[in-house]
Amino acid sequence: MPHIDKTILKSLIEERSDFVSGSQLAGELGISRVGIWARLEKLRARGFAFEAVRHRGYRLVEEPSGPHDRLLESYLELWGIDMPVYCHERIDSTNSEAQRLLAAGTGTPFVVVAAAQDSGRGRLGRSWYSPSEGNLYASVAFRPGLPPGRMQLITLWLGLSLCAGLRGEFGLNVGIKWPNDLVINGRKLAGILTEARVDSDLMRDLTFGVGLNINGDPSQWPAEVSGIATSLRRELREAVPFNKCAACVLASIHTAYRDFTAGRHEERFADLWKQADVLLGKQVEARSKHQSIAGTASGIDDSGALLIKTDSGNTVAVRAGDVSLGTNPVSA
Amino acid sequence: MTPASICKLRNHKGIAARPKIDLGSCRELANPAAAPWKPPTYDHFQPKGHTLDLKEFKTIVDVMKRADLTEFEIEEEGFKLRIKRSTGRESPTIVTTGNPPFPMMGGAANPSYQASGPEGGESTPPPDQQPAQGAKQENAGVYVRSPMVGTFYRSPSPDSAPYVDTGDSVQADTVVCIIEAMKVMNEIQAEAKGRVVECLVENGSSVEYDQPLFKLKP
Repeated sequence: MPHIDKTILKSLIEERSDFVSGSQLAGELGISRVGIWARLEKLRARGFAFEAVRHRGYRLVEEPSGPHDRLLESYLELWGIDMPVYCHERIDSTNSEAQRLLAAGTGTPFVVVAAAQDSGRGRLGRSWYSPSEGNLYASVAFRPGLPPGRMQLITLWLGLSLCAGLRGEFGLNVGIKWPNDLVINGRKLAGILTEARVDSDLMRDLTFGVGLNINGDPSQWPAEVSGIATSLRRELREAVPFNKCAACVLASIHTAYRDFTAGRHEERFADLWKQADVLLGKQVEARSKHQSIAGTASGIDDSGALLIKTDSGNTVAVRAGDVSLGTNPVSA
Repeated sequence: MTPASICKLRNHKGIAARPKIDLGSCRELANPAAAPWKPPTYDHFQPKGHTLDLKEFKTIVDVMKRADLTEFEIEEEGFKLRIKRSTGRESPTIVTTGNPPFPMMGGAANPSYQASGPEGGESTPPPDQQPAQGAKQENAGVYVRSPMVGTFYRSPSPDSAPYVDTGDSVQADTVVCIIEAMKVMNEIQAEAKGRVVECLVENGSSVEYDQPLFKLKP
């Protein structure tokens, strides 16, 4: 039996401007009208606001400002995506929780969302500042069962999909800094950490962790991030409905994964990348443990590696490392 | 990605600190049948002048071949393409300005296979041709091999202890390292039971497909 709150919320979102009859809902769910009222009271305590009018029914007028599992599921279901959402007030890291759920045999795909993370992380154990103030910290888990070689471009494609979606939704000039940071005017809006488990030459499971700054105020953040980060609210100068925005991001990840595993990304990938690539033509420096390469960024190759044209005229493909924009080219 | 019709938050005006639902901008949601979830369109990128895709390029070359043309040139705003073709064995010359066409320098610049040479090369043993799971040969040792091209990491972060060290016992499902490939952090399992005899690759170096990473004694 579908969850009662989800059914109620789905009806209310579907109708939006219209009222939903309490007795009709009661009939659908096989519970009493008082039962419906009691559920709505519980939802009110979680940050929802409903308008109730005699003989007409209920109408949703306000959503919670933080993540709500049943509301997120309702949005996703309305858009044809059946994906359970596990919400937490606080958690160590949504990727870690997703991996615990995968290890426990939880069916995929599923989503883990947290209002705050105690040890949110990025690549190589770096920390991701995760305060509880309306930002999205989410992980989506899949079990691809495909050779890792086939999954090579997935994280780039995912970044590209989120970039396209945010541009479309908000009209913001969101770009990608290789490999998959989302940036606006050089400030980081979102980061993605993709972790996988590989055995017997197959990618057994895959976890996409996304940190997206939605309603946070970067000027209040610690100095080391405030100057280089931004949020949707800062760019739009107004708050964004959290759950709807979060559901859009989750739906995008789901769709991007489905398209990728079906090979539907191939035709458009190179062209879209060129349009989103903020490094293209810029002076950059790529650093890894063993080397540092400076030159002009010249797009990516078929494997997704960043191409850097050095001052001596060679083009080098960089597969991993940190890339920074440099203003003064290194003189040879 | 999310079609604009599904959640047009852009027109969302006058939202208080606590977000309220703008009924007007969410009207499309009222009838999902009228505004069903659509696959991503990626139409929101602004076109930046003309670009050439592989199909267009092939078409031009085909036309040139058929008509036995040796030179082709096209120029529009922000884009210029010139293709010279010889009738002999030489490859064609392609000159473009403006947006680069599809990545045609790809093959020339692919130094990944040299990457482990000058850098962490010394510790890389010659690829061993015996079957990966040489369980029958008692003392031959078993190698944990890389299932992909990428960067090898022995620990989850620079400050933490390695997943496994020489002398450690591992099970088939013990995670022994991470290989980063295009920002996917892949946890690699031992795939065999045994004791780690040797770690064959330096932390942070590039590894190739099937390259031995660890030697195990069954």
